[in-house]
Amino acid sequence: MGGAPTPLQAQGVVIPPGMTVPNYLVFAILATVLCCIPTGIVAIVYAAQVNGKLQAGDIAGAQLASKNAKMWCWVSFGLGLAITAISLLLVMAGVISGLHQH
Amino acid sequence: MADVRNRWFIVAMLGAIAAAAVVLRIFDPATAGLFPPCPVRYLTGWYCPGCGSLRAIHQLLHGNLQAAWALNPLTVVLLPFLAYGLASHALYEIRGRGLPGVFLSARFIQGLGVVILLFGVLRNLPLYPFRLLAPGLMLP
Repeated sequence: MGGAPTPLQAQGVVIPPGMTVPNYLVFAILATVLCCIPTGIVAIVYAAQVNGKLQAGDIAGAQLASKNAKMWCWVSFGLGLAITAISLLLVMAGVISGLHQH
Repeated sequence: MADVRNRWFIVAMLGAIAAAAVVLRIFDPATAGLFPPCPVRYLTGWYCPGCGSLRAIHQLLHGNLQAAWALNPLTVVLLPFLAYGLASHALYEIRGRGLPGVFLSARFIQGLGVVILLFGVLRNLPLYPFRLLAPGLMLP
Protein backbone atom coordinates (compact mmCIF):
# COMPACT_ATOMS: atom_id res chain seq x y z
CA MET A 1 0.00 0.00 0.00
CA GLY A 2 3.06 2.17 0.37
CA GLY A 3 3.80 4.83 2.91
CA ALA A 4 2.01 7.98 1.94
CA PRO A 5 5.02 9.98 0.75
CA THR A 6 5.42 8.20 -2.55
CA PRO A 7 8.98 7.18 -3.34
CA LEU A 8 9.97 8.69 -6.64
CA GLN A 9 10.91 5.90 -8.99
CA ALA A 10 9.32 7.13 -12.17
CA GLN A 11 11.15 5.69 -15.12
CA GLY A 12 13.31 7.95 -17.23
CA VAL A 13 12.49 11.06 -15.24
CA VAL A 14 15.05 13.19 -13.46
CA ILE A 15 13.67 14.03 -10.05
CA PRO A 16 15.53 16.09 -7.46
CA PRO A 17 16.88 13.70 -4.79
CA GLY A 18 15.03 13.77 -1.48
CA MET A 19 11.90 15.17 -3.09
CA THR A 20 8.64 13.37 -2.46
CA VAL A 21 5.07 13.95 -3.59
CA PRO A 22 2.69 12.45 -1.00
CA ASN A 23 -0.46 10.88 -2.43
CA TYR A 24 -2.31 10.64 0.94
CA LEU A 25 -3.70 7.26 -0.13
CA VAL A 26 -3.89 5.96 3.44
CA PHE A 27 -5.96 8.96 4.53
CA ALA A 28 -8.08 8.77 1.38
CA ILE A 29 -9.00 5.13 2.12
CA LEU A 30 -9.73 5.94 5.78
CA ALA A 31 -11.83 8.91 4.67
CA THR A 32 -13.81 6.71 2.25
CA VAL A 33 -14.51 3.94 4.73
CA LEU A 34 -14.95 5.99 7.91
CA CYS A 35 -16.14 9.44 6.85
CA CYS A 36 -17.88 10.03 3.59
CA ILE A 37 -17.87 7.63 0.65
CA PRO A 38 -18.34 10.01 -2.35
CA THR A 39 -15.76 12.60 -1.31
CA GLY A 40 -13.39 9.89 -0.08
CA ILE A 41 -13.52 8.30 -3.53
CA VAL A 42 -12.58 11.68 -5.03
CA ALA A 43 -9.53 11.69 -2.72
CA ILE A 44 -8.60 8.16 -3.89
CA VAL A 45 -8.93 9.26 -7.53
CA TYR A 46 -6.56 12.18 -6.86
CA ALA A 47 -4.16 9.82 -5.01
CA ALA A 48 -4.12 7.64 -8.13
CA GLN A 49 -3.52 10.77 -10.22
CA VAL A 50 -0.45 11.68 -8.11
CA ASN A 51 1.21 8.37 -8.94
CA GLY A 52 -0.02 8.42 -12.54
CA LYS A 53 1.49 11.87 -13.14
CA LEU A 54 4.73 10.83 -11.42
CA GLN A 55 4.92 7.82 -13.75
CA ALA A 56 4.46 10.19 -16.66
CA GLY A 57 7.15 12.53 -15.30
CA ASP A 58 4.71 15.40 -14.68
CA ILE A 59 5.95 16.62 -11.30
CA ALA A 60 3.94 19.85 -11.24
CA GLY A 61 0.79 17.90 -12.10
CA ALA A 62 1.56 15.37 -9.37
CA GLN A 63 1.98 18.16 -6.82
CA LEU A 64 -1.37 19.67 -7.81
CA ALA A 65 -3.09 16.28 -7.56
CA SER A 66 -1.41 15.79 -4.16
CA LYS A 67 -2.88 19.09 -2.95
CA ASN A 68 -6.32 18.06 -4.17
CA ALA A 69 -6.04 14.62 -2.54
CA LYS A 70 -5.20 16.25 0.79
CA MET A 71 -8.04 18.77 0.45
CA TRP A 72 -10.64 16.07 -0.31
CA CYS A 73 -9.44 14.04 2.69
CA TRP A 74 -10.17 17.04 4.91
CA VAL A 75 -13.52 17.68 3.18
CA SER A 76 -14.45 14.03 3.84
CA PHE A 77 -13.36 14.31 7.46
CA GLY A 78 -15.43 17.46 8.00
CA LEU A 79 -18.50 16.00 6.26
CA GLY A 80 -18.11 12.74 8.19
CA LEU A 81 -18.04 14.65 11.48
CA ALA A 82 -21.07 16.74 10.48
CA ILE A 83 -23.10 13.73 9.30
CA THR A 84 -22.21 11.75 12.45
CA ALA A 85 -23.26 14.71 14.63
CA ILE A 86 -26.57 15.06 12.77
CA SER A 87 -27.35 11.35 12.94
CA LEU A 88 -26.44 11.34 16.65
CA LEU A 89 -28.94 14.17 17.14
CA LEU A 90 -31.54 12.10 15.27
CA VAL A 91 -30.77 9.08 17.46
CA MET A 92 -31.24 11.20 20.57
CA ALA A 93 -34.44 12.71 19.18
CA GLY A 94 -35.64 9.17 18.40
CA VAL A 95 -34.85 8.06 21.94
CA ILE A 96 -36.72 11.04 23.37
CA SER A 97 -39.82 10.60 21.17
CA GLY A 98 -39.70 6.89 22.04
CA LEU A 99 -39.85 7.79 25.74
CA HIS A 100 -42.90 9.98 25.16
CA GLN A 101 -44.89 7.14 23.64
CA HIS A 102 -45.32 5.47 27.03
CA MET B 1 10.72 19.77 5.46
CA ALA B 2 8.50 18.63 8.31
CA ASP B 3 7.09 21.77 9.88
CA VAL B 4 5.89 22.08 13.46
CA ARG B 5 2.20 22.16 12.54
CA ASN B 6 2.47 18.78 10.81
CA ARG B 7 4.33 17.36 13.79
CA TRP B 8 1.52 18.34 16.15
CA PHE B 9 -0.98 16.84 13.74
CA ILE B 10 0.94 13.55 13.82
CA VAL B 11 1.18 13.60 17.64
CA ALA B 12 -2.58 14.26 17.87
CA MET B 13 -3.30 11.50 15.33
CA LEU B 14 -1.15 8.90 17.11
CA GLY B 15 -2.70 9.88 20.46
CA ALA B 16 -6.20 9.51 19.00
CA ILE B 17 -5.35 6.09 17.53
CA ALA B 18 -3.88 4.87 20.84
CA ALA B 19 -6.92 6.12 22.78
CA ALA B 20 -9.29 4.52 20.25
CA ALA B 21 -7.42 1.20 20.53
CA VAL B 22 -7.72 1.21 24.33
CA VAL B 23 -11.45 2.06 24.19
CA LEU B 24 -12.05 -0.56 21.47
CA ARG B 25 -10.17 -3.21 23.42
CA ILE B 26 -12.29 -2.60 26.56
CA PHE B 27 -15.73 -1.99 25.03
CA ASP B 28 -17.41 -4.15 22.40
CA PRO B 29 -19.20 -1.84 19.92
CA ALA B 30 -21.71 -4.67 19.32
CA THR B 31 -23.09 -4.38 22.86
CA ALA B 32 -21.68 -1.28 24.58
CA GLY B 33 -23.98 1.30 22.96
CA LEU B 34 -21.17 3.76 23.53
CA PHE B 35 -20.27 4.23 19.87
CA PRO B 36 -22.40 6.21 17.42
CA PRO B 37 -24.17 4.05 14.83
CA CYS B 38 -22.86 4.22 11.27
CA PRO B 39 -24.75 7.19 9.74
CA VAL B 40 -25.16 5.37 6.42
CA ARG B 41 -26.71 2.36 8.15
CA TYR B 42 -28.83 4.54 10.43
CA LEU B 43 -30.14 6.89 7.75
CA THR B 44 -30.53 4.53 4.78
CA GLY B 45 -30.60 1.01 6.25
CA TRP B 46 -27.74 -0.03 3.94
CA TYR B 47 -24.35 -1.32 5.01
CA CYS B 48 -21.43 0.89 3.99
CA PRO B 49 -17.95 -0.57 3.23
CA GLY B 50 -16.90 0.35 6.79
CA CYS B 51 -19.89 -1.15 8.62
CA GLY B 52 -18.68 -3.64 11.22
CA SER B 53 -15.11 -2.31 11.18
CA LEU B 54 -15.16 -1.10 14.81
CA ARG B 55 -16.58 -4.45 15.95
CA ALA B 56 -13.98 -6.19 13.77
CA ILE B 57 -11.13 -4.18 15.34
CA HIS B 58 -12.51 -5.02 18.81
CA GLN B 59 -12.35 -8.72 17.88
CA LEU B 60 -8.85 -8.32 16.43
CA LEU B 61 -7.67 -6.67 19.66
CA HIS B 62 -8.88 -9.82 21.44
CA GLY B 63 -7.16 -12.12 18.94
CA ASN B 64 -10.36 -13.42 17.31
CA LEU B 65 -9.40 -13.31 13.66
CA GLN B 66 -12.38 -15.39 12.51
CA ALA B 67 -14.95 -13.15 14.22
CA ALA B 68 -13.19 -10.05 12.86
CA TRP B 69 -13.24 -11.51 9.34
CA ALA B 70 -16.97 -12.23 9.60
CA LEU B 71 -17.72 -8.67 10.71
CA ASN B 72 -15.72 -6.89 8.01
CA PRO B 73 -13.24 -8.82 5.82
CA LEU B 74 -12.16 -5.63 4.01
CA THR B 75 -11.01 -4.10 7.31
CA VAL B 76 -9.02 -7.23 8.20
CA VAL B 77 -7.28 -7.19 4.80
CA LEU B 78 -6.58 -3.43 4.66
CA LEU B 79 -5.70 -2.79 8.32
CA PRO B 80 -2.06 -4.00 8.22
CA PHE B 81 -1.37 -1.89 5.12
CA LEU B 82 -3.12 1.17 6.56
CA ALA B 83 -1.19 0.79 9.83
CA TYR B 84 2.10 0.54 7.91
CA GLY B 85 1.18 3.55 5.78
CA LEU B 86 0.23 5.63 8.83
CA ALA B 87 3.46 4.63 10.59
CA SER B 88 5.38 5.61 7.45
CA HIS B 89 3.58 8.96 7.33
CA ALA B 90 4.29 9.62 11.01
CA LEU B 91 7.99 8.78 10.58
CA TYR B 92 8.14 11.00 7.49
CA GLU B 93 6.83 13.97 9.48
CA ILE B 94 9.17 13.26 12.40
CA ARG B 95 12.46 12.45 10.68
CA GLY B 96 11.79 13.40 7.04
CA ARG B 97 11.95 9.82 5.79
CA GLY B 98 9.17 7.23 5.76
CA LEU B 99 9.33 3.43 5.74
CA PRO B 100 10.31 1.57 2.59
CA GLY B 101 7.32 1.33 0.28
CA VAL B 102 6.38 0.15 -3.17
CA PHE B 103 5.30 2.56 -5.88
CA LEU B 104 1.66 1.78 -6.64
CA SER B 105 0.56 2.40 -10.20
CA ALA B 106 -2.38 4.74 -10.80
CA ARG B 107 -4.36 1.75 -12.13
CA PHE B 108 -3.77 -0.20 -8.91
CA ILE B 109 -5.02 2.69 -6.75
CA GLN B 110 -8.09 3.12 -8.96
CA GLY B 111 -8.71 -0.63 -8.68
CA LEU B 112 -8.53 -0.33 -4.91
CA GLY B 113 -11.22 2.35 -4.99
CA VAL B 114 -13.41 0.12 -7.16
CA VAL B 115 -12.91 -2.85 -4.78
CA ILE B 116 -14.01 -0.72 -1.80
CA LEU B 117 -17.13 0.50 -3.64
CA LEU B 118 -17.93 -3.00 -4.93
CA PHE B 119 -17.59 -4.44 -1.43
CA GLY B 120 -20.06 -1.82 -0.19
CA VAL B 121 -22.57 -2.76 -2.90
CA LEU B 122 -22.18 -6.55 -2.76
CA ARG B 123 -22.64 -6.85 1.01
CA ASN B 124 -26.11 -5.32 0.62
CA LEU B 125 -27.28 -7.85 -1.97
CA PRO B 126 -29.71 -10.43 -0.57
CA LEU B 127 -28.15 -13.17 -2.75
CA TYR B 128 -26.39 -16.16 -1.22
CA PRO B 129 -22.65 -15.74 -1.57
CA PHE B 130 -22.75 -11.95 -1.36
CA ARG B 131 -24.99 -11.61 1.68
CA LEU B 132 -22.28 -13.38 3.73
CA LEU B 133 -20.31 -10.09 3.41
CA ALA B 134 -22.84 -8.29 5.63
CA PRO B 135 -21.50 -7.82 9.19
CA GLY B 136 -21.56 -11.02 11.22
CA LEU B 137 -23.32 -13.32 8.74
CA MET B 138 -20.34 -15.62 8.27
CA LEU B 139 -20.47 -16.62 11.93
CA PRO B 140 -22.29 -19.89 12.71
